[in-house]
Amino acid sequence: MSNKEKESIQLLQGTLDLIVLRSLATMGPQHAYQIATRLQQISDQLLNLNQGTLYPALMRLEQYGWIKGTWGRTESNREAKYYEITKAGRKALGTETQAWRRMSALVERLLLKES
Amino acid sequence: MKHLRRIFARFYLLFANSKVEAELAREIGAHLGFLEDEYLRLGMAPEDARRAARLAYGGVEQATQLHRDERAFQRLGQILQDTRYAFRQLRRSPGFTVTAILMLALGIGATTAIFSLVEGVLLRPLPFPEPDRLVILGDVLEGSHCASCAQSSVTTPDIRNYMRDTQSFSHLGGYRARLFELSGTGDPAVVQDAVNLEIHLIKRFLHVQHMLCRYLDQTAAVSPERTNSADEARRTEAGSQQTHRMEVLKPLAVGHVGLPAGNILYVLRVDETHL
Repeated sequence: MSNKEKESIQLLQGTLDLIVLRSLATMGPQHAYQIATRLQQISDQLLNLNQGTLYPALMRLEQYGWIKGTWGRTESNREAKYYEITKAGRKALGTETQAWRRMSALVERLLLKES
Repeated sequence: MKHLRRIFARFYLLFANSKVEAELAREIGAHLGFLEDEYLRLGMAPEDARRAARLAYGGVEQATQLHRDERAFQRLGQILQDTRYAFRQLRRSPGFTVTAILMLALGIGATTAIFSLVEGVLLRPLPFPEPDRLVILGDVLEGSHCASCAQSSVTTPDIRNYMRDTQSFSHLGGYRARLFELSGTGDPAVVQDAVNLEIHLIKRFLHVQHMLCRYLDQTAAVSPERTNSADEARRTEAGSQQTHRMEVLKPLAVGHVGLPAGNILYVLRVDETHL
């Protein structure tokens, strides 16, 4: 086992939704495999993304009405379901990002105070 | 808002299960395809690439189950499934179904009946203050051979004697149920369920309120006013064009000759039930 795998992080509950939304907002419509690959690349392989959690997250976001999936074809002519962020999704991304920043800043401050 | 939307979606997907399941299988298939392509590009043999893709993806079945749990109310779905199964089974064996339903009906009916009885007899108190101190006094006639004579009621002179000679009760009084004829200036009417009751018993110890008229003293003389009241009671009955069941109290004249006829009465209750 390499060092990097040992250090891999399990995502906090609920943060995957935010990350997926952000990714879709930046990159435009993507299918699940692209999202997974991109998250791994950006996190420098630190993110231990279980495929079993990605699909439920996508479906949850779809049920919220924040993303919309449509079937299409890739350049290599494989079929794939492309997910696109909706208007409501962009709005939610804004508020959720704010909430996360406040939350992480708070935890950070508490950790500093206590050390 | 987002939660409301999701709740609807999760309900809806309970009924569109096969469609979503197929869609998910298609999506996972596509995902495995991409992984396979990746391994092929790295120079693996097609067979190895396929296996490697499956390994990299992890447990397909677990992933599918996670998806199921997330997309719909699985518990509810299971309950629905179980219910459907139960109904199918019941329809397949009508004999068993009928027996089961009859047993249930009988069980519920019997329980209800017994409870009503217990409630009426044991649990619900009598509509008087301190009902636990209320007793009915009767004579025991020794040597008598008929069933109802064993505990027979007392006679009017007996009541007077008991009232005079016993100290065990805070008060004693007599009552007698019978039909009454109610007459005044108009046509006479029959009053059913009339009760002759010793007046102090009603007023002081049972705290019974009358609906019409007023209490009469045992020695009270007839006055026009009271006659009017009696008429009024009858008019109330006749005016509503209904046969009423009336409970009427009349003072029981213990030790007196009795009240002059045509002079009564305390209407305690007027039921709307038809006789």
